[in-house]
Amino acid sequence: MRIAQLAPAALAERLEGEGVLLPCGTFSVCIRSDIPALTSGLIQLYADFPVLDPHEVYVDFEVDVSAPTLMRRFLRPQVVLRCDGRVPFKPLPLGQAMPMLEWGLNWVISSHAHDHLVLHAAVVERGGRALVLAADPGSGKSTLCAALIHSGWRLLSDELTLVALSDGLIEPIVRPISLKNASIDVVRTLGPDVVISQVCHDTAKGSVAHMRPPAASVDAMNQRVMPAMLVFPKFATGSALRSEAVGPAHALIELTRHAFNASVLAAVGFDALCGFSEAVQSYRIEYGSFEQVLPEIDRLWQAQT
Amino acid sequence: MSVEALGLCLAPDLHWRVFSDGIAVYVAETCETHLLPAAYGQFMPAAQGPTKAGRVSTVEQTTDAWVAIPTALSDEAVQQLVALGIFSRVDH
Repeated sequence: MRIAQLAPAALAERLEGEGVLLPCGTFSVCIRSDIPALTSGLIQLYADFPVLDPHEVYVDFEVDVSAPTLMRRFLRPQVVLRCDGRVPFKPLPLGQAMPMLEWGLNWVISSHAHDHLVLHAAVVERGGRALVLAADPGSGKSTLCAALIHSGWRLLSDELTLVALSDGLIEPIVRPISLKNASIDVVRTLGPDVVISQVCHDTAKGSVAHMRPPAASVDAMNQRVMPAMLVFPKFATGSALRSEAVGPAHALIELTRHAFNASVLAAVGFDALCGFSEAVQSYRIEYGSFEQVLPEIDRLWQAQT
Repeated sequence: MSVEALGLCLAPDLHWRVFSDGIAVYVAETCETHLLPAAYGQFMPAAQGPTKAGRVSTVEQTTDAWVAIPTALSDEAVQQLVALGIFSRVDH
């Protein structure tokens, strides 16, 4: 059964009761909430996701999104995320319930998936090989990721690249794509089939919204991929296209900054970074529009196949 | 020149990988990764061989063997490498 097959009332009842068990990368996460906005957010963004059976699947994490106190349901309403009883973040205004769930799920994965090298990077796939986009926040990584999947690439993640320590393959964590500020309208113009959630204003990241992942990417969420190309993208308004190859040692050093669990994995993480850097061709691309960067990525991709 | 003469050796628990564009070095003591010029490969020992079943690791690790430090390194470079935890001072 998929989320879209549940009537809104039935989904809300399940969220308030036993919870809804969803796949989240290598984990299964049981989500509970009594907040109506979360029910509608799940319907909108997770429509194509399978609802797992808690009697058949091990529940890795229990995540609850609800008011921190009874008073905060009514007076300047707030939400708080609890994961297995812990509260990793401060409460946020009620209107940010859905972003809080998304940020919380990112935290769940990045702080627990230590059998993987966890990179702060988007990853998409074509022809059985992965293109990884690693960049600092605000560089246009997720926006570029949305444009790539709209032009035929498969989404593995817009936020976290999980490289298995055992064999170097990348594990998909298909989830909604996080968009901020001006990128929300940019992605909206990609096409009529793009589904974007209600915009939350005045968050710590500015205005945020999420894009529903393509159904085909959700259906392929168990297909692991060999890394092939790494791009450090940098969007700047009005910028000319600048594209250059990056050597593996320099790519490794830059990737170290984007590795969430490098300090946890220590030498094992360094070994994984070495293997990853050697497995990919790396490039740095500065651009000012999709019309510049998409053909350039295609050109580089074709050149190495 | 031997390390005894310079009073230096590679730091313990050092991991490194020689690439075409430089040497990536992981210093376990500080959990930091550094990039050295490829020319520094002359004082990094050769590969240690397989470390995992079915997979040859090309990440090198400090051994107990002494390593000759080339005299071409300037004092400033040596001090920098000591500060980064890549070289250790040898107590005589």
